[in-house]
Amino acid sequence: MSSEPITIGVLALQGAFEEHQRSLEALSPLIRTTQIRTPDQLANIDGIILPGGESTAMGLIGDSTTGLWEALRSYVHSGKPTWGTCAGMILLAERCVGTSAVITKGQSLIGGVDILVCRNYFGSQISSFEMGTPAPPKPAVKLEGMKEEHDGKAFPGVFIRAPAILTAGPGVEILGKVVAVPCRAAAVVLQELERKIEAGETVVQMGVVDALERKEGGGVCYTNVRLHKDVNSTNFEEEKKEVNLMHEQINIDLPGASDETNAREVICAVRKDNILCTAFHPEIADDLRWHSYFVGLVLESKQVKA
Amino acid sequence: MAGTNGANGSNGSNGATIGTTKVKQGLAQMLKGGVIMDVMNVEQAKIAEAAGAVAVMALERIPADIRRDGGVARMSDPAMILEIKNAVTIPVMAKARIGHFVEAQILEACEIDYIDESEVLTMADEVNHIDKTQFNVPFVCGCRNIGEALRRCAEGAAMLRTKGEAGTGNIVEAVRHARTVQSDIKRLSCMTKDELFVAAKNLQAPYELVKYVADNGRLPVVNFAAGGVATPADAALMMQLGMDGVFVGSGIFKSANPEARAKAIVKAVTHYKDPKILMECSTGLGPAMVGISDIRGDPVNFRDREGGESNPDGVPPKKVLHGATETKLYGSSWN
Repeated sequence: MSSEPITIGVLALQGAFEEHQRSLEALSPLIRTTQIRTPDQLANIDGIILPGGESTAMGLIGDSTTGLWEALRSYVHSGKPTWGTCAGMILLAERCVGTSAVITKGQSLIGGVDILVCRNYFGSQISSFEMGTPAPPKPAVKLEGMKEEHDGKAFPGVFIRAPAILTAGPGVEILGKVVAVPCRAAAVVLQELERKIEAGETVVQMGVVDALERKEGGGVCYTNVRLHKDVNSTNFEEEKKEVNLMHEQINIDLPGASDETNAREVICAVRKDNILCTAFHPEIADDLRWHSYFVGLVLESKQVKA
Repeated sequence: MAGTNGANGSNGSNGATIGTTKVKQGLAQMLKGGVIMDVMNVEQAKIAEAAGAVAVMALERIPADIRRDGGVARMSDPAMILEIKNAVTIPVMAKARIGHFVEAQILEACEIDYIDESEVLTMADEVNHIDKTQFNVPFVCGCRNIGEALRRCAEGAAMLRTKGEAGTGNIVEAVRHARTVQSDIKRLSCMTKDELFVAAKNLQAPYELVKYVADNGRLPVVNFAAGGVATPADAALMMQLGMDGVFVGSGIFKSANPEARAKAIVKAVTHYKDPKILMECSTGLGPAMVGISDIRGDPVNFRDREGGESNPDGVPPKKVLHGATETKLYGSSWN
């Protein structure tokens, strides 16, 4: 039990940052929140949330804000409590497929968690859904007066054009899984990914569609999937070589299709040390248990420091 | 067995439910603080995505062209919508005519991410809007004041935007509508419960929604600015007036340097409270769209197309209008 006030920053480049602030402030009057738009604002916070939004837009806006990505990288890598929801989770991933092929350097990633994320796994908005997901763990430390009930009931997961975690590396604790069929575009990306893994190529980033051909009868077939390496590097040809050289160091096992419907068991929540990732949106779920779990993480890391 | 989810459009045995209010309103919440751009082809869509747009609105003619060319403005060809949808990974929106629920059904079949039931297209029904609760795909609708906003919410709109006056490059109407909605909210917030019943009557909006606004001090759904945004300063102005994000229609691709302007407007919306950054992103963009300064004198009026607004004293007088997109109009924000 702690009675010390804490301040949690919410990255406010774009997306549902106000919803996160409202959720945190509803938990306890001891929690203060602040919006983060520039590197210097990272100084006096006890933890940070990267909210849901459009990962492509967030990545580009972050790119154009001098020093922000570097500051966030060092913040996350220093082990300070960080939570990414949906688009925020994509930013925290080390690998991402299904990124936009329009943008030269692909999706900007902050990294920090060894997971392979597939953007927009479940399809377009019409396929966005609500579904019960495994309940979050109980928080290690509670704030005084925080009433959140952790009764193990399923958590209402709101998945909006959501990404899915395909694989998690060693040391990543899996907090929830769902079984779901990939959308058409994601299925094509997965197929390509399987081929690349089989051929021994390492994938850091892979775009969806570079060019497309309209099949007769209306169907669309995707062609020319592009491969991206490190977002900070500018030379594409060199990157490709480098990627090919690295291929033996990595071992990715994709979740297989569980039955003839091509449904796969994908991961929707993970924790790596002080970094938390959820593919869904607790900020709009009217259930504060994930927020209370994250606050517990922040308090714990504060106590360790003190 | 497990194995079905929303992606199949089914309510699978694993308990996934698609098309819920939360999911529909949720996407709009994810677009907050972002810029949605009108695009007419794949090239423009790619420019928009690369500039940091959170979504694109696919349409055959942008509002400025509809104003100029006239004729009946309808839903775009699904072929161009699908082409754009396949070219970018951000959400794609498209417009249907007010009341034209079959256009909306077609757009839903295109798996479009959001439908704009838009006054910029010619009205298909001068009385009824689309019953948006019947769709799994969410709708955005325009509003000039809180009554109109809540009427659209009651019909199932999951997102709102100011109407402004599209295709003019003139922010004055958007400012009027944003200010009107914001002051309406403030007024409701300090009313007592008995006053709210009358307020609901006067606003011609459902009492439950009026009460929600009074209790929470905000609209039940996200509200973006639209209709006349042409510069980064315009966009930041609308954000400072309390809007959740910005639609830019003709402002980008009718300007001299769409790429630079698109990027600048995105940056201005993120850093809308920082005049230093706003100065940087307003610098050296080349000429903005020429636009229309005398909106009142312009023969085209998109903003007053609502339908269904009845005059308690009887049939409202038909406005005498001339010009290419003449339509029967009820009540004007000028009166």
